[in-house]
Amino acid sequence: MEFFIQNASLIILFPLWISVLIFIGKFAGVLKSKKIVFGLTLLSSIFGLIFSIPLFALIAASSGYVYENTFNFLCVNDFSMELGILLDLTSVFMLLIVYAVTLPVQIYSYSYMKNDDGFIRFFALMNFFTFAMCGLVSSPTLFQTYIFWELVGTSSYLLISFWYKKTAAANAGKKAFVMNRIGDCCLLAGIIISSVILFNFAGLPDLADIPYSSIDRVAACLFTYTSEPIFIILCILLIFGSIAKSAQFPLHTWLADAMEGPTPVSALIHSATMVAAGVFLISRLYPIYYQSVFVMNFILAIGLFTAVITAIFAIVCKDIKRILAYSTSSQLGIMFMALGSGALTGGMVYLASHAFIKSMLFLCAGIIMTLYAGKTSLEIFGGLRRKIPVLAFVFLIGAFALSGILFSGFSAKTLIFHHLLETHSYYIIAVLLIISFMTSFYIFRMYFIVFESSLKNDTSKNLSYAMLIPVIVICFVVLVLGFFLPRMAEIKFEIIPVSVELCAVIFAYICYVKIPKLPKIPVLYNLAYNGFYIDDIYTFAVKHIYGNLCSFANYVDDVVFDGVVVLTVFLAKLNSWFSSKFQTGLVQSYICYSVVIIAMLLTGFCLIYSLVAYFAEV
Amino acid sequence: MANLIFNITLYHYLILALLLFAIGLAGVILSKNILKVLISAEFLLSAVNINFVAFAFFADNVNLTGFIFSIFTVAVGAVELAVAVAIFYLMYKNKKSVDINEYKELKG
Repeated sequence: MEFFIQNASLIILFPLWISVLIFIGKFAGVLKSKKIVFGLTLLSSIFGLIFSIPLFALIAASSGYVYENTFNFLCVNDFSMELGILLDLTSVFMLLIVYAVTLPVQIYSYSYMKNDDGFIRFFALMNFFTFAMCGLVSSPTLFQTYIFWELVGTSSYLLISFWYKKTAAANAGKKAFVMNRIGDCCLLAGIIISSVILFNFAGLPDLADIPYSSIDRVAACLFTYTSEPIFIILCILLIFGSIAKSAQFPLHTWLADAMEGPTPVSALIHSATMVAAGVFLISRLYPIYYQSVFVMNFILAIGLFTAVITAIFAIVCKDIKRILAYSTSSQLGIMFMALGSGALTGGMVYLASHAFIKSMLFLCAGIIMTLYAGKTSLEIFGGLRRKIPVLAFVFLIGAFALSGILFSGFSAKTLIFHHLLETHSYYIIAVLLIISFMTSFYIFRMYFIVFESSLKNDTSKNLSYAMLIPVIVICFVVLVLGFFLPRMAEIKFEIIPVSVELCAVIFAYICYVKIPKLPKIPVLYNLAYNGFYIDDIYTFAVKHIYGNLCSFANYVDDVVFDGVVVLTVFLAKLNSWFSSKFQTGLVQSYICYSVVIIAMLLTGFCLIYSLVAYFAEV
Repeated sequence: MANLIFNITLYHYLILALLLFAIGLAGVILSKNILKVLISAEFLLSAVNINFVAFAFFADNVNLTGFIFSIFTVAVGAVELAVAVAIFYLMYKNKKSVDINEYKELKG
């Protein structure tokens, strides 16, 4: 068993090798067969899954066992940066989730992308993403986390704008990249500030690269050697990195647009793994945030606010993939809230259950899309249950799990509710109940419209069973995961959220099946449909405020800085024009100048000499 | 007054040389004809020679340095004149003119 731990770095590096192999093979023109590419990909994923299961079992069984293997990557005087691998419960947990979601999604993408020109590029990028994600979750220091954080962002950008010839996809990729960049800048600033504090003020060069293995000491030092406001600013900078990655409130707008990418990408990156990296980072730096009540409340408030508004957006959204994207934002908000309220285990368990549920729902959405030639508008679907009962059943399981009525979603939500009850945070429970209500409402709205309403636009296309099998596999994981999650013994409180969620299901049934032509709430509907105009506010800010600032800067550049240059040139020209007038070409004038100058010099010397003589005499 | 005119001192020679130098300089600067410029340059040389001899006579008549130096100057002046006349002849062949305003190729 020691073998698995000793060679754990293989499962991080293997996808990278495969990815590089596919890229080189593609550019050399050797690798043309789609089957070989898919086989290589499958090899790396299966290898990873087989490796990560015993890893998880081993480390979960031995409580508190941590394996760390690092090498010195960068060394400047006393400062040294370590790269390597850290295996503790959190990282092997995340590794297992990553590989357990990656493998079915990759099998699914083979059928999904079969007729695409970019098939080979797609699988190379998917492998690269797997490498980056595994490196991110198993990094021993915050510096390495940042490196892989950027790699994950890059592969996300490349996969969102995978169909780069589509303007919408290219723009969505750019938007995701820029939005993430805001967060990444904040994160980098936070890392550098904390590193400087630890290195210069605390005088601990061995902690300057912020190793997770001694994060408690780091947290204590950071708190001791800073004043309260500085510490809060530092934490908020670090949190902003997570906010951008996990699509939380001020920077949540990129996730819905990221749905322009291929559906397997949405299932793997933008619901299960990459967006969870923000939550993962918060759990890694938890001891730092835990020092300050304000910071914890900040995480809590961001999570709650995002969960509420994105749930509202999901209720009115008309695009199946965007509904799921908003739902992802909302669920990640719940995780933020759980972490902010102190339920670390609850948040991480929720992350695991959500990863499987959401990737399954996305894969279902992808199957529906292939039946309708890539269309995603909710209005064209209807009555699919009679056509594909298996898919409807799977989706129903996902919907029940997501809303927290049954299965893994129920167990995870119970953990969070239990923690909130223990800490007597009744207001948060109230808000969480509202969020749960909205969650089950929007997911069952989608279910009822797509599967239960009257059959519309019958398609002749047949369902590909190669795509259905991975979905069923994840569905099975969702069904059984609930039994493996840590459970609370004996709480009666579970009745309340479940009944609230069931009410929402019945409400959705009434709204979308019994009385389909329900009037819309006038003002709120438009507000929510346009995402509270947050995108428009950003556009306005960029276009008008920032644009005007730019044109002002341009004006200043043109007038002041270029003006100085132009003036200098003009003066030089004037000077040369003036002095060139002395060059008459006549020898006589030159003699004249020399006579005048010699006379002046002699006069000057005489004057100075006589003055010196006079003062010497005096 | 008579004493001032007939009792010849160093200053008389210096003033004579100065006047001669000024005339020569004016001639060099103001003449239009290149030959006139050459002749005026000879005035400058003469003025310097007068200075040499005058200083040699009044200040130091033992070593004869000043006298001998002025002889050298005359010789150098003669050589210079020969070369200058040759150059001016060639210039004249180019331009067919002795007007100094024609020779403006150095104009900036």
